[in-house]
Amino acid sequence: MSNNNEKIKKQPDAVLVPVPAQDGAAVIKHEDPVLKAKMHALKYNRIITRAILYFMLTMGALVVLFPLVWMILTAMKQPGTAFKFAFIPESLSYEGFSKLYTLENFKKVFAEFNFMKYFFNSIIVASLAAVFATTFACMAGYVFAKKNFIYKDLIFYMLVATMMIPGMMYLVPQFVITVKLGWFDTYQGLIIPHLANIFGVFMMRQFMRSIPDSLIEAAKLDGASEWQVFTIIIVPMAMPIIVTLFLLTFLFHWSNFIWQLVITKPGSAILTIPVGLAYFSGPHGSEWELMMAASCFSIIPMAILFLVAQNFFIEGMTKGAVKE
Amino acid sequence: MIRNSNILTLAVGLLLFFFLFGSFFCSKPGGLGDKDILVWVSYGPDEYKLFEKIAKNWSELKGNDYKVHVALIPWMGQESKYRTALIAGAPPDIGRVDTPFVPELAHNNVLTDIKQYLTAEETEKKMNTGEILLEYVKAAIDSCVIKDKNGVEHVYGFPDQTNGACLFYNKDSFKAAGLDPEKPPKTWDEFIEYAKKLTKPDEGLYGFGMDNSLWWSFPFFNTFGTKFLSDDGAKCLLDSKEGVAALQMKVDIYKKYAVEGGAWKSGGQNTETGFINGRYAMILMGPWNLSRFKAARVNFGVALVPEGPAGTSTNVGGTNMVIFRNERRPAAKLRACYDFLRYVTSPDVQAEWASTLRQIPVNLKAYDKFRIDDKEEEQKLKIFMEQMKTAQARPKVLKYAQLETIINPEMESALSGNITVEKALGNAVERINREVLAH
Repeated sequence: MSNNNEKIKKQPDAVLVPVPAQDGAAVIKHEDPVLKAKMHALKYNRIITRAILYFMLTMGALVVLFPLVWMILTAMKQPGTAFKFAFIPESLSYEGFSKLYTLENFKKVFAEFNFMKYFFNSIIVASLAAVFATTFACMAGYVFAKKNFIYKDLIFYMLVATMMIPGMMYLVPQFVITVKLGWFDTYQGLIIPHLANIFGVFMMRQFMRSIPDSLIEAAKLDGASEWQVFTIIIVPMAMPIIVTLFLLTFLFHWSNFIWQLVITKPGSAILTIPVGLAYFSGPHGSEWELMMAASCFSIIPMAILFLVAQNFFIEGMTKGAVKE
Repeated sequence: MIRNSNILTLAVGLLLFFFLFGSFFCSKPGGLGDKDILVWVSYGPDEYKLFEKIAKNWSELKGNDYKVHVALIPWMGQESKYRTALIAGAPPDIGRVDTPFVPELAHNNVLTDIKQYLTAEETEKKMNTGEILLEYVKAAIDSCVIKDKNGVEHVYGFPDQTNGACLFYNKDSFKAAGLDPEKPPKTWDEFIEYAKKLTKPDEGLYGFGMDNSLWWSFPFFNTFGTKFLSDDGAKCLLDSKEGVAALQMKVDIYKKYAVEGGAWKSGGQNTETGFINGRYAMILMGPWNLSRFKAARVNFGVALVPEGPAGTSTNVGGTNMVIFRNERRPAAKLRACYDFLRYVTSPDVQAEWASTLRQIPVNLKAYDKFRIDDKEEEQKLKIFMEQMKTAQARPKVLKYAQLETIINPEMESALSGNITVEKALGNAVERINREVLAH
């Protein structure tokens, strides 16, 4: 705005009168037709630019929302019609809607598939696993970032190297160990084998390295113990990355199907949502209407978590990637 | 500071509590005794309810000391579930498994051969040797019979479900093209003629929607008389002149006659969706979609797979019930497991199962007892039953999925016109012999 004002002032015939606008910015009032045309063009350009921007954002939003809307519409479709390209009722009457849509799928999900039990178990498994995995990763990350001990880097890179091994390779050994510990078909069996999160340690370490050592030294000079340095200095400063890791771990456990399938007994009281959803699939396809109805509910905790923690999450995602 | 410490103390306390007492919140394993038979099934809700009733009926039979407990596992991931249960030494007594999984289980020596019980029952009932197996749909029971390295045949369980593909055709599309909706094509030549009349690319209408996986290609290979494996199972014979002719037919349907709508391509509209929405007038499909298509209000008919030089035939899918090995299981309990499977696959139970669930009975003696209220649907299912009589079991190899992985890209290359049919099948056979059959 100020640059424009300078240009405008250079016009010899222009009579410029700055008038304070409501939002505090200076508005130039003038009578020069050339300037007036330029201002109109500028305003017009701004409108066009904004229109294009909003159009693109709307398109982007539609693309992102499309699967969600399709999921909800499929969840309300009559059984067996998931793949029929019919979404608009023939008439805007109850009969017209009921030919295409029904709420029975939602009722069925709760009445016949013990959905609340799966939901409750998933909440327990995902939240406890996320809390403990984040706590351990935070502690380990701090040690690898700020402490010195023999072979520190070697140990760290060896741990990071394990990320290159596909997760499925761990399935059988982890299963055998878990069974031998007597944790088959228990909450411990569902949670504990995945608490060591190397990716989390890596993220924490990278972030904590960006925290200045001078802060820690200052705290120590003030008499802070190691535990106090960790809880008073490190944890609050690392909160964005801690929240990010919590969300990622929660998401992993919320949708971890294969482990939760093999470590529980058929018909167990601790079955979770991913296993519950799998009951809608058979050898010749899935009951998509029911699966989508269940999915509508299963995304609620994730949606709430991401909404609540979105600022931390975005901050954490960017900060974790930057080295001091 | 104090608050942070409290939070952490609470977290550590929770962790310890969880470690020590967590198992109190969940169900305990075990609880089954020598008189209990545990069966794992991967059925849908309606099938599960009926199976539970069948198990209860059997458990309450006069003079029966055993009780069957049915546990539901998801279809998806079931192989991992069985593998890990076997590793843990806790498989069920009986499990419902996909037919291509049986050779792998047999190879790992974790299944019980029921041949001695078959012989004992045949002796008790004064039947001829092998007569019991003849009660079943041949292609279905064939999937339970596995040869060992010495060529000795073993019987691992019974089929509990069987199915295969038939030709589905849209009656409205037939009418619109001036074809008689009650006279579907009987041969591949007729099929081509019909498909030409049904194809209107400008309107997005095609005579046929074709899948390209090996399983969906068996109706072509089988109707052309292709033998997949040599008698000793050591060589793949898919590149024989019959095999080449079968795949050439698929290629011609797409390229020469241009009557196929691209369902086989990645990103193409799949056969089910295309049929429901009227894009494909004919598709090969299994009985599991009869009710789905009806619910979608498609006016359709079902016919036998068009005849090729070897007549009509189809592929075979379905599942088997197998008895897992357990050295500690008493012989009487093993016999009870066998008796339960015979009960499940008996004519009366199969007739009830098939009539209630609209499926194909695995026992041929149940065919005449099969009745459902909807006569039109009954007629369609009877066409499937007829088709199953000429169906051929899948090749019994250790890793069936690997066959699909090898053959499907080669067939796709042939369909795309990148290589000839002979070259595609030659490549596939060379890899199958080397990677699947050499071990």
